[in-house]
Order: sequence, then structure tokens, then C-alpha cells
Amino acid sequence: MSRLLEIENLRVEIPALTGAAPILEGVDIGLDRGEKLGIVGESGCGKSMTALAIMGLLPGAARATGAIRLDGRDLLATSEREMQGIRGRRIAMVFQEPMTALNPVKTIGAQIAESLILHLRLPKAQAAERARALLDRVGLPGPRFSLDLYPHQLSGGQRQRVVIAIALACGPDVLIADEPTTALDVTIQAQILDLLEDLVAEMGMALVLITHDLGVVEETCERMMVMYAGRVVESGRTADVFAHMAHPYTRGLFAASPRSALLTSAREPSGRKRRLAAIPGQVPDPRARPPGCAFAPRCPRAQDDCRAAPPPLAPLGAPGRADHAAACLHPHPPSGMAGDVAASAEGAR
Amino acid sequence: MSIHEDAPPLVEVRDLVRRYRLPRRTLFEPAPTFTALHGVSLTLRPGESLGIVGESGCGKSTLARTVMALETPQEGSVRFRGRDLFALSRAELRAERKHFQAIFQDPYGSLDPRHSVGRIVAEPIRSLEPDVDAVARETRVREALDQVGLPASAAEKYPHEFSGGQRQRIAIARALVTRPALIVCDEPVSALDVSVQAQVLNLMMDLQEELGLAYLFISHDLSVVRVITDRVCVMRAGRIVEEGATDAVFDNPAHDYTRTLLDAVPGRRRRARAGERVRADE
Repeated sequence: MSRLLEIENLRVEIPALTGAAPILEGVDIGLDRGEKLGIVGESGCGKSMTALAIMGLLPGAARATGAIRLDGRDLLATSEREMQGIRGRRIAMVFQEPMTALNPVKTIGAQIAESLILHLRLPKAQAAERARALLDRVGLPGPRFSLDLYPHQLSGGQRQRVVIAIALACGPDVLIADEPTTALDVTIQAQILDLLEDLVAEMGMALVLITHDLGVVEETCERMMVMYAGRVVESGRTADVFAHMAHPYTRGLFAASPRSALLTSAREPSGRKRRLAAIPGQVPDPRARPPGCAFAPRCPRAQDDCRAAPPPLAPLGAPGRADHAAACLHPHPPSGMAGDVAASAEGAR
Repeated sequence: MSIHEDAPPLVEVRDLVRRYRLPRRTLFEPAPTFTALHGVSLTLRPGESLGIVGESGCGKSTLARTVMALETPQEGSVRFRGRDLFALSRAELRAERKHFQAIFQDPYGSLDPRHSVGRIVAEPIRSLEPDVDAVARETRVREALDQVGLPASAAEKYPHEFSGGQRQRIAIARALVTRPALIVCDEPVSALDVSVQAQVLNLMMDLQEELGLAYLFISHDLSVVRVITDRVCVMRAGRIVEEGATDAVFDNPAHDYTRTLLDAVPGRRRRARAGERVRADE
């Protein structure tokens, strides 16, 4: 039986002066109903491009090859006209900025009802009734939150709830959330993540959660992928990846995050402030990626063979962790994670 | 360490009240007001890094702007090196400004794209220290670029030629060029990616140690505040609800609101919900 969403060897390139520049290369994803997949990476790593490719919303000049199958049907081979029937109906998306995702001159009720009328051909009155139920479900109960409100009358968190209600309106099979909480305050962020989790469990959707925040993935998703420079560099069950971060980039990202300092003291015994384990350098331009592993120039473990060809994403072969894979020729050996990160933090200074 | 417990305070903020007039609802009633600061007081010592943390709308940016005398409060005072900033004449205030500089969140919006980096970094000297001649100015620009880890050749380039992290370094160089005692930082690393954020935070810690700088560090990000500050004030709705040494506040928050904020941080939240205490020495 085919999986709900299956992406095989997805490659996206944009034209550049020097020939086509690959934005994404060799991305594979398999997702079933009820599963939650986290995609982590920094800006320019290709995580949002992956989402846009699934939605069929790639910028005009971009060219995608490979396959994106929804219940066995290849979306890359589907016409734009047919995609319009899938987008919003079977695959829905929640964007980062609720301010820009909503139409400022339409009431929130009309914006939720829109897809119900368009996709499900519901009569207006029935669509309004459903919109009311959806608003109630996302935590905006009437009569305080009337369908006649406009986006500017709501706070950022409330607007994001409206965006979620719109995404859920047609009961999609796949929900893609691209940095859904990045623009929100931390207490609101927690509420929105809880809401998303509850809804996924309740409606049996598959969730693709795109974020730069390892902490968000750790507590929301059972599976995760780390992307760097357009490729998946590590993937597996979240618990396995956190227990043993094999790719130096995954480990670097974790160690560089001040989040790790939140759990420990940010000071050395002398009282001096502990420095973060920054990753030197920066993400390479897609038009000028190094020939081998794109992370090699920033990697403390890089050797000559790393610079020859990009390493494939290969299973690490740890017993009981069949899904855990990394694209690295010299991955970190399994060992106590917390101590390791602290040690590499020391080494970076 | 460069924090002098007994040194006279660098900044003394007393009972600041800042109210904004909102648009009138009707012609017949007075315009309603919004109080952004409800009597805020704080003290910052030379070489100390003080964090102001809170959610959007809590008044932290208004506080930062008032400390820099960019906003005038209705009540209260800001003393910088013992002098009341709001009692100074325009010329005196201008002369004082070279001792406190600022860095803002957006490394794209805060640098004029039409000016070379050299000109951008030199700008505070031109406007605040007009007596400094061109040669000395150039030396100081080179020195500031060097302090933030940029080559002297960067001065000839333009902002668009730099990445986000490098642009924030340029903004820091511009803040350093007048050799200030205080830098007010409003969300300086919030727009940066994690790996670059770490580079900039490390640089800021190095500079604080080397130059004895004081920071007033405004952020919504608790993790960043824990890394870079010595003391922290937690703000909510225009008031400071908790203040103390950073480690003490994070490990043993006294106020419910501080606890709520800390427990909401992803990665910490699940443990908090599971009822497991996050220990400081973990």
C-alpha cells in the first residue's frame, strides 16, 4: 500500500547566470496519516522550498524533478487546474506571518468560509455554520469572536488561530506548517503548538512542521529531518536523533543554540560567561556550493574525502534505530550526547 | 570581571512613566491614553549586562528608547553618569550621546544601503564628535571594524555585499566607534540564524570583557538573555515584575509570570508539563 505522502529524489533548481542552481537535491520523505514530521534547518537550507514544492507553489522559474505522490498520484505531473482542487482541500498550509497570510479587508468568517464554498460547494449559510464551529475549535469562541471581525481586530496569536482554522476547513490529509510560531510570543507559541498537536491527533492528519527551532521539533514531532544547503543531512525518529546526533551539522546547530544554555548555567565556575559553540562561516550560496559535502568548509570533522562528492544519506545501522540516517562520511560515533556537546562547546573556544 | 559593585551607577532610572495618547473616539471626550511604562526603576553599573525580557507590548522597547532619551517620559528621570538626561540642554545631551549607542534588530533596515560601510561606521563620529579630523576618524573606523572581526577592506564595500551576521557586526562597529560606556541592544540577534546568532553573541561577550562595556539588552528570547546578561528584569504590562541575578531568576523564578515564560520555552515545556523539574546543573 502506498503511503499518504511520498517524495522521491526531489530536485528543484532555479536558473542562474552560471547555469541552473540546485535549491533542493535528493530529498526523500515518506509520511502516513497521523504522523508528525519536523523539518529543521537555517534560512536557505531548503525547508520552505520543500513545502512550496509539495503545495505546487514553487516560483515560476523553478524546475522540479523527481516525484511527489499524494496517495499514489504524482503532484509534479498534475496540472495547475487540478492542483487547485488539491491545494487547500487535501493539502493545506499554515504560514509564519499571520498578518500577511490573512486578507485585511475581508472578515475572518468570509476567509474561513471561502474554501468551504469553493472546494466543498457548501451553500453560504452552511459554510458560515462550519466556519463558526471551526473558530470555536481553534479557541476563538463566539460571541466574543464573531465571524464579522477583521484581522486587525485580533492579536497575533488569535490571527494564527484563524489561519489554522482556514487550513483545517476542508479537513485536509496533510497539513504543512511553515514556522507557525516564529512570529509569536513564547507563551502564545506554546498554546499554538498544543492546538496543532491536538488537532492532528483528533483529525488524523499528517503534519509537516517546518522550523529552525530544535526544541519545537523535539517536543512536537516523532520523526525529524535536518536540512543543510538543499539536502537532508540527518533523519530519523526524533528520540533517536536527539539520543545520538550523528551529523556534525545537527550537533553544531544544537550546541550553537542558546537553548542549550537555558537548561544549564551560562557561566563557567570562574563567573566568566560561557561562550556558545558557534559554527564558523556561513551557509554557502546555492550558486556556489562546494563540490563535496556542502558542510565540509565549516565542519570540524571534515577530511579530504568529504570534499570529493556529496555523501549520500545512509542508515547508521544502529540496532533498533533502523530509520536513523545521516549524510556524512565521518559521523559522530554514538555516545553520551549531553557530555559530547559540552565537550565540543569547550573545543570551539 | 569588570563589574564594579561599589562603582557609581552608570544608568539610574527612577519611576519612569510613559503614556501615549490614543486617537480620540468621539469629539466630546478627552483622548484615551495608553500607559507603556508604569513607574519603572532600574540601575545599571559600568561593565554590567542587564537584560530586559518580556513579551510584545510589555514596554521593553519604550524603556530602551527612553533610556536613550529618544522618548520623553511624563514622569521620572534617567540619570546617565550622574546627569539627568532630561534636564540637559540640547547641546549637552548631544555631547553625552557619544557615551551611549544602540544596536537594533534588523541588520537590513538599520544600515543605509547607499553609503559605504566606512561612511556608515564613521557616522556617529561625524555627528557627535565634529572635532575629530578625517585621519583620526578613519583610524577609529578601522579600529572598530577590527574589533568586530571585519577586515579594513570592508570599509570600501556596501551593506548588500554582506550577510545578515556580518551586517550586524557592522552595526556593532558603528556603535563602538564613539567608544561608548553603554550599548542599548534591542533584539540584536533575533533576526539571525542560530549558528550566526551564536557568533554575534560570542562577539558581544568578548567586547564586553575587553572594553568594559555595559549592555542594556532587550529581548523576548529567554535563552539569549540567559547567555549574555548578568542581571535581568522581567517586564509585564509596563512594570518590572521580577529582577535579580540572571542565574538566580532562571533557576528559581520568584514570580509566577517568570515561571510561565520559562515553562513555555520549547524543549523545556514538555518536561515542565510532565511535572519534571529542570535542574540547573543538568
